[in-house]
Amino acid sequence: MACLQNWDGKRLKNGYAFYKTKYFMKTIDTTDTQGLIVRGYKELKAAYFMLLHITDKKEVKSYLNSLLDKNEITPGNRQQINQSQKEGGEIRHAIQIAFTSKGFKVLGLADNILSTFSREFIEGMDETFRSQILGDLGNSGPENWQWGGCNTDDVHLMMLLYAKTPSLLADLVIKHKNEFHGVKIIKELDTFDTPESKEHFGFHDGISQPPMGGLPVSSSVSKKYDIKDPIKPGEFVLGYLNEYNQYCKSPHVNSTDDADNLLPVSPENNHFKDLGKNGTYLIYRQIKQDVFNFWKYLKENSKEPVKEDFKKPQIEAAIRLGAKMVGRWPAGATLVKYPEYKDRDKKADIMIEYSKDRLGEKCPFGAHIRRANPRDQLFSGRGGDDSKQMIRKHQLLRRGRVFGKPLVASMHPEDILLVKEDDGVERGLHFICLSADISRQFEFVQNVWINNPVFGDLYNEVDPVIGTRLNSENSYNNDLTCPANPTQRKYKNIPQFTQVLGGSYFFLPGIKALKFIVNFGH
Amino acid sequence: MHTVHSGFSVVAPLKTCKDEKIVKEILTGLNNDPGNNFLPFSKSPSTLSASGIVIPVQPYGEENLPATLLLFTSYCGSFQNHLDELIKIGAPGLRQLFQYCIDFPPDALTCDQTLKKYLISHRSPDTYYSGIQHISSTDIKREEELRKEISEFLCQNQQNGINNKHGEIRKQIQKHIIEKKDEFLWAQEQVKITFMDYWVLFGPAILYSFLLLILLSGLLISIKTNKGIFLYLRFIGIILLALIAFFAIKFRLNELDKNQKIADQPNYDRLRTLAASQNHLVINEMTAAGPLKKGWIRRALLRSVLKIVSLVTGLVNITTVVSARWLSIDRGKRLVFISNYANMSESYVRDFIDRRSSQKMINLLFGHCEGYPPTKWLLGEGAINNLQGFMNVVQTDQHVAQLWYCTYNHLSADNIKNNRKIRNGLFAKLGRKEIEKWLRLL
Repeated sequence: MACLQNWDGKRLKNGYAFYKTKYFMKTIDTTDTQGLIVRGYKELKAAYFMLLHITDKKEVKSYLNSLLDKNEITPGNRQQINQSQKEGGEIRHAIQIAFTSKGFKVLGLADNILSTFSREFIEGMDETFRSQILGDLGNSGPENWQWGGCNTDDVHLMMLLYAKTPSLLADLVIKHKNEFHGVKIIKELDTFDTPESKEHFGFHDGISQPPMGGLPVSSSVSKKYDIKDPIKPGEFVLGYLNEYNQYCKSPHVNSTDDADNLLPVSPENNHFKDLGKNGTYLIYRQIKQDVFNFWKYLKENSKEPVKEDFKKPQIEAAIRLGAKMVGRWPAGATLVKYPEYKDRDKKADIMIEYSKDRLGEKCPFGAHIRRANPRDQLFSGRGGDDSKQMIRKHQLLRRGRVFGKPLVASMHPEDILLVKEDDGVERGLHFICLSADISRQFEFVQNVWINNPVFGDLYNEVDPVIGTRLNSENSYNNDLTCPANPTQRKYKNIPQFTQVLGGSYFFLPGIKALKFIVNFGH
Repeated sequence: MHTVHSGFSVVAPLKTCKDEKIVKEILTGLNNDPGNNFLPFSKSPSTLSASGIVIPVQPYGEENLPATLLLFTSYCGSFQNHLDELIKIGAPGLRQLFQYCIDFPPDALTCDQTLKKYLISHRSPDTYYSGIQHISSTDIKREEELRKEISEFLCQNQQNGINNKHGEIRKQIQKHIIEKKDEFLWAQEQVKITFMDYWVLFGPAILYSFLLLILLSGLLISIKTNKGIFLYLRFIGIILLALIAFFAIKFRLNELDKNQKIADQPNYDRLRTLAASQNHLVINEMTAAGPLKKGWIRRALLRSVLKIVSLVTGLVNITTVVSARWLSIDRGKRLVFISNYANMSESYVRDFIDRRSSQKMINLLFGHCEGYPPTKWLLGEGAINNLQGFMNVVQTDQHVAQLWYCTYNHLSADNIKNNRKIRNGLFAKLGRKEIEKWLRLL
């Protein structure tokens, strides 16, 4: 740990020194980042994720080297994308590679380098204490996972394949399966392109992404959100300043280890090379959604006490309650802005101010979106500034995809509610997000907001949609409080609608770092 | 009689290092069996929470600060009453623990009065913060029961369609609680905060402020007046200014000392152990104890800061913290911090540093600890510029308490306050708007 002493000791001083040098770049070097950092490949409707176990590291290194040589790991910069991955100037398909810590070890990365990655990454998502933090208990416990858990083969690396059409994707999958030797496939995870960007419960998903700074102004992300004060890139990509004006802990190697001079000098200690630069941590959880029982619960428990509400159709009441749980109407409009049922088809809105709903009568305090991103509502009574400052330090870039055939093709709640019996099909969400600090960002959100029973001064509640009802003390937090006039409406014994099927922490390296890793020890 | 919360902190160095293991085992034994007959805190109504921990030998320059037993309680009301209760319910446990400490008189093994004197003599002054003033452990528990009862009542009635007039709903709730008189007779009585409560909490701050005001006024007047006492005051003022300037320069030079290194990150095994100890669902406990940076100015300044902060803690509200205390022990060479807070420790620590408004307070209180990133004029830089360095110090100095007892481990400070409002509003005379507001608490 002697090296870390210098690392931290010279943090700021060197940081400022580098600020004045060419090293410091306000703009992310997208030629070196994998494309997933910059975009979610929404235009590539088909996606396929392969979880692989390395059986022969030489073969793996050789194959990865061939991909690198042919420039087939899709970079963030559109101009740099291989012509074979483009069609008429647009991306046709993309390939991304991410590794687990066990994968790095099997590939031969030295222990002294591996130990510079974050503790969460090294220990893995299935570590016992981590399960408590994340709420991976009961059916969602790592002992029951289909992959990534304690009773399954180790996942070493993940290949993420994206393509414009399913047939193109199928060709791509076959090609890589045939050519990629030295690996055993642990799990192949298909995706489903749902209508109107809906997740299986029938709600418009992926609406609100944190606006990441450091990208060219012309980038679609910056344009879409029209944000004057974007989140600093160091929150999502290693090697850049974060919201604390510091660098997140980034894996590094001794300068002498980088004989080919592939890596940049560490911004905090010029004796080290920054292995993390332009890379990030990728958090992946396969979450099963029990769509039939979700809407069944809503249908059976959504009768309102006020007499006139009894006249309202049951479907409307169920959708209202579903919207209360999510915080948005199925089409995406927020309850804070559009609390009335008649406005349910309004367009998805992004700028939510919870200060306009201080009593939670429009959007309950425990609603999914209010927990996942509390925006200006924390530290009530002190204005929203403290809250906004804090929120900026706990953001995630979400890159998820849906899997499994929908219960109803239209995915409209009105149609789902008409279904009489569950079809037994496994469906859900590949929850994928990127963050530079797993503990501060992903685990914090999961522990302090999503699964916290006293979040927002509530009692005995967790996120009604994705929260884990079973807690570490073997009791259940399964209420939902909907503030209302004259009295709140309390929903009790809400069942678990989601289950974690598998998960792992990956590292999505920069392209130069990937070259270094693949050739390390040669 | 008042209902102000305070901290009782007993600090007792162990006789020998060998005793460290034995005392830790005793504490762990007591922790694992809360219904024990030796020190059952649950039988002490005045006790809100308690912790017991042995902190190891820690170096301070050339000196080794001794392994020390720390026993902390948070209590409601008078100290005398709390101490009597502790002796009554837990004398055997207290003897079992403190017999391994320096200065423990043999008589205290049999005599309660001697034991009491021993505990008083080893009481360390602390800077104590409570996020839930004026409430006893009994009230915390029963007010939560009251809330649950009302919530259940509303839940059952909402299925049948409850009357939608605010006043009527409240009357129905009142009727329901009155019908359950055996369980909730106490709830018909409101809790009032007396003058004594306010005085105990704010009196010292008011007195000190008043004295300070007089002194400052005198100093200001002395600038223009050359007569009598004002002449002396002017002289005192000049000396004070010179002293402040001297201390400030001395402190700044200490801050600039290049030999003070920043703490390394503890190894991952240690971090894992610390993290695994924060496994309680709502409220967790954190104890940190570590030596200060070298220099008498650090010790003097920290003591002054703790004294000043202790006067204003009654005015502060930190939603995630139920109780916290700071102690300067070993003649000011070691700082101890202990807190009961909502969530896990890493999130808890970040909660403060993530907000600009509390960053300077962190520097003020923890900036003197060895390994803390250098501050600038006490409040600047430090953790603000080096978050990881700050986290490293906290994690280096953090210790897992062997004994922890808490009466409110499933309730946040805001939950407890909300429950009190429900109780006080249930049978109070309220106007229409107030009833509306009260119903929102449920």
